[in-house]
Amino acid sequence: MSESRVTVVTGGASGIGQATARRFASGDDFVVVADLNEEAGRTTVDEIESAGGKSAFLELDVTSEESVITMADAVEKDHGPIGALINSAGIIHNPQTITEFSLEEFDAVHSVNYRGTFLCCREIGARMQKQGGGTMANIASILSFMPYQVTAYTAGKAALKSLTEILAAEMGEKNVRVNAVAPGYVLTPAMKARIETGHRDPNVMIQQNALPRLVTAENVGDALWFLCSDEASAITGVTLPVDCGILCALSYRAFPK
Amino acid sequence: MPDGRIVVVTGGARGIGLATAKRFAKGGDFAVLADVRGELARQSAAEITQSGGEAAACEFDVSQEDSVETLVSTVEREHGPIEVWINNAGILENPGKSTDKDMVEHDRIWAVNYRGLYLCCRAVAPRMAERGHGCILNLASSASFKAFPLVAYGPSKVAVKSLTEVLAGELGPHGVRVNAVASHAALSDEMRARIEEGERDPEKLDKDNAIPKVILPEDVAEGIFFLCSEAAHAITGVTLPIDYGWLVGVTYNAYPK
Repeated sequence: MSESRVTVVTGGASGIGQATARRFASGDDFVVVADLNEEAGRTTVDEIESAGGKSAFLELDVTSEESVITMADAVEKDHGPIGALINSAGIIHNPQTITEFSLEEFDAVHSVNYRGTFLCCREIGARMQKQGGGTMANIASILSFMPYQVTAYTAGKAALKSLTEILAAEMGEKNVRVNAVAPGYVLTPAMKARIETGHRDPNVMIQQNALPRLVTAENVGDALWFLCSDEASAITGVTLPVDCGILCALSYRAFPK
Repeated sequence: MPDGRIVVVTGGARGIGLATAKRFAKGGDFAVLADVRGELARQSAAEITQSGGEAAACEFDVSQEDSVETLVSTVEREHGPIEVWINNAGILENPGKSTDKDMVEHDRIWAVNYRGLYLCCRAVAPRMAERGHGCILNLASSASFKAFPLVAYGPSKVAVKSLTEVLAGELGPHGVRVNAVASHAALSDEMRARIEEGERDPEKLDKDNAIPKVILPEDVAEGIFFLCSEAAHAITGVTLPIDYGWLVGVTYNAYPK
């Protein structure tokens, strides 16, 4: 059993999830990296442990209810009650109109981004309420607030913001807090790779932000750490943009002069 | 010159302002308590310095342009460049109808809550922009998101949220971040006074909060401190609710069963 708070990070093997796993481990939490990708997950755990942190890997498929329940059971049995849950498992897709977009791809995106988060919140939220408290955080997006050309992703992230608010109201009485972050363009390793291959221009993304820089995965990890800390004990039901101000800047700069 | 950041808190003599000044002083910053209640501000600053923090008091009137300009230039001359500015000075309103509103009170609320905050931003922002860094933090409210029978206070706080977003867009390219917090019926000194006068019911302060607790000035101060810290490096233009989930609870609980 862990003496530290036990934090589960779904999708913890890469990107925002990985940076978040590192941030919580450096704050002395015991971090369960739960991911479909075992190799990358174990590498993340090894890195955390060699930096002096406490961590373990568990295989998780968020599209499967059985997999979610098995993961939660295993964490409680081996490490203790789950104090914090970060729902970072998610997938992206290329821009397409709704008429072009295949229903198969819509179902795939929905089953991970929205339904997978729903399953994890449901299963672990129930356990947190029984144990007298806990904190959950979802990865929404700036697209929770604005229409964009990635149809399934955008609608799913808007739905996650709504779910965050409903669950905060539902579980607050049992001292379970539910919040979300809404990242903008994040310089994850996947984004760096797309920049290196010429698929994305960092300067265009920077110019769209209010602050002349890109959000790092560590910036998002820092915000999640705050929202899941005691300092944020009066904060629940919020979706906090971590976006270098793109949500303000897009309309601000679009004003016709 | 002090070692810590220079942090100016308007309305810093009491309530959320004083709790915020104490939080920054605890974090090693130099807190300037700027308030129209000069004697109270001096007492509160002395309280901070006696407990080992760094603080000073300045008497000023947020509704007077000259007074705001003098405050900014005096603080920078005597203590150094202002790194963080907290626009906390504000006045509450008792519920009522627009047709019954005394326009003197209406105009007074706007002069302090919106116009005073605007004057402070105008005075300090160009200095921060020229230095290429700085943080402005505004006190918005649950009234920035939802309607109340507060016909002057409510619209003034909606305007504060909007100004926060406009200034984030304007000042972002110069490295200056602008954010806000939105609390709800916090147990501030001004709220205590209204309870003692029989104008507000203390039993109702946590009504509809998803987590059934009353918001304290210290809760709000923690959120403000985070938004002005390096951990929030990628956050600008946001209005962060610190409300124990009132915003989500008030509609969730209204569903007719």
